[in-house]
Amino acid sequence: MNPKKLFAFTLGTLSAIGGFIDIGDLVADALVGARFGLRLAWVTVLAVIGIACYAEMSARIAIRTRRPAFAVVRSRMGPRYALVALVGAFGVTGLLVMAELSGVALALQLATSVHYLLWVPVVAAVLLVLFWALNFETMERIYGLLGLTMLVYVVAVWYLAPDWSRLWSSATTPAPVSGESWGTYLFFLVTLIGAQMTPYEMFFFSSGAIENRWHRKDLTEMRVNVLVGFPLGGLLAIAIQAVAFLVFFDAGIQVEHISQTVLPVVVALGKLGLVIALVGIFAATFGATIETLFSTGYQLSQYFGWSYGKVQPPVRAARFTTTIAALLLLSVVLALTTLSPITITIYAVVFSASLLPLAFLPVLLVGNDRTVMGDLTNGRLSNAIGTLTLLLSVGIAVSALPLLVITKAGTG
Amino acid sequence: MRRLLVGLVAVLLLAGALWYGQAPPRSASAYQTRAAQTALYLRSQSRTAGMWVRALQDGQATSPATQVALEEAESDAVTTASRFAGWDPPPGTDDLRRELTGASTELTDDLAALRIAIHAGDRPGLSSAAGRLPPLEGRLTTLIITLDPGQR
Repeated sequence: MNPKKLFAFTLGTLSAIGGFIDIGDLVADALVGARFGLRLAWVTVLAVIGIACYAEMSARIAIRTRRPAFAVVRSRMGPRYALVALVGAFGVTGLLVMAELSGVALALQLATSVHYLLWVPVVAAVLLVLFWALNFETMERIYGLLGLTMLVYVVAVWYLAPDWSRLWSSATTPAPVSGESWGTYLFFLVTLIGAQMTPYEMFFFSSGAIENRWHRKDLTEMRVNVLVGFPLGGLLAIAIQAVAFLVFFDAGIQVEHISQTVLPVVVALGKLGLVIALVGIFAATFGATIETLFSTGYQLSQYFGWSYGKVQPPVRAARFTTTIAALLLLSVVLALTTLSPITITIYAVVFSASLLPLAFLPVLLVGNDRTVMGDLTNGRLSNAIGTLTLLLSVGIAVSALPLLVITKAGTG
Repeated sequence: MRRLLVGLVAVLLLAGALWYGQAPPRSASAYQTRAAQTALYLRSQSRTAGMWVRALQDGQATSPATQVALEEAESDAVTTASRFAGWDPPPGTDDLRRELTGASTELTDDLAALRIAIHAGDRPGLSSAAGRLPPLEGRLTTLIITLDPGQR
């Protein structure tokens, strides 16, 4: 492999690692670690396997058909099905945009003590400027690489000098701790799945395959991005659970703010750790804001057949650009209502979990369609993992809303 | 007609869910459960504040981050305390209410003192206010264990 190709390869994989974590992961992992230790880490493992499988499938669909997965789903399942999926995804992703935008502002608040609501419109303005000025690949690389600073959580685990046997015991006990009910355990299982298997990641990855102009020769690069990037991203998520466990569990501290998600890193690594973690959270939520915005814009444009994406100047994809700007403005307005970003995040990921089968089923069907996919049709491994993930997602979808109500969003 | 019925059922389910989530405790046992949860949250907010103050004093945390964290802890404690205080105590729970609202008032006062001290750059004031937190946390822990022995 020539050095330039290897560089692009490495960059892509590193970006995938750094881009895995968003505010949903951060909040859900810290919450879960503080209340249950590593007793839900197995859910992260399952979620990473599932989303990696579907991300690879949807990118393969895009490479084969030269169309993003959502557009192919619309053709295959019909516009009514696609409309239901679109409305659901639009609602959930819209909430997530607001939460991610607030996450960026909260990171800036922690760095400067200036209230996060003052940062929200500033961040939105910067996002619009970057969207206008930078190409897709550059934006992806910047936030992906900066997001690697989230690896500070992995370092923090080591510096906290944990009792490894206790960590292992917690990770291998898939049951609630004393004082917690099965209801709240299952609710947080749903929350983690919703945070780590978000449909927007899958559709964004597939639209990204079109933006990056991937062809068959890029299949290996795409697979390395997924098969190395996503699991290492999952490792980051488990590290966040672990540090929250090590610092908060015995103290009985419950995570309710972003500031608490960095406190374990402060305890382990001091000011330097704090600064690195804040850069990481900034990059992760900034990148996730872009991804959720783009994902919504892509889906709407692909449904209605509009021009979209960064492969052309914004003025030539006017409706796509307008959608993104309008959604960003709406998110700013929502954020300025002072609705708690953490509460919004929890509700958004739970609703996202309830919509998973709608997103997964058509991708699995298209991936298996030999008339569409030719020699890139799903193999047995893809089908096995895809089917099991789909079945899991159906169980999650059925139980998500009842658990939300019964456990009062995990509070009791 | 069927759509109307489905819509009506959906609205009733939503209303039921909202009522279930927001209804105040009516029985003594429900009140005790809510009291235990309230004490847990208050203790969590107090310990979070204490951890940030120690980190600041040890040079591990920055002043802006600590300031934000202390403001959040105080705001949460005030919300938690006022939510509990807003519930009417069922018969036989007046003493519990008195004890918990007393502890929560002291805690919110101490968290306010932390916030004021950090805004003023008053490190001795910060230490003094932080020193009052552990005994309060002890009282809250005793209350939690009395009300819900399965808790940590």
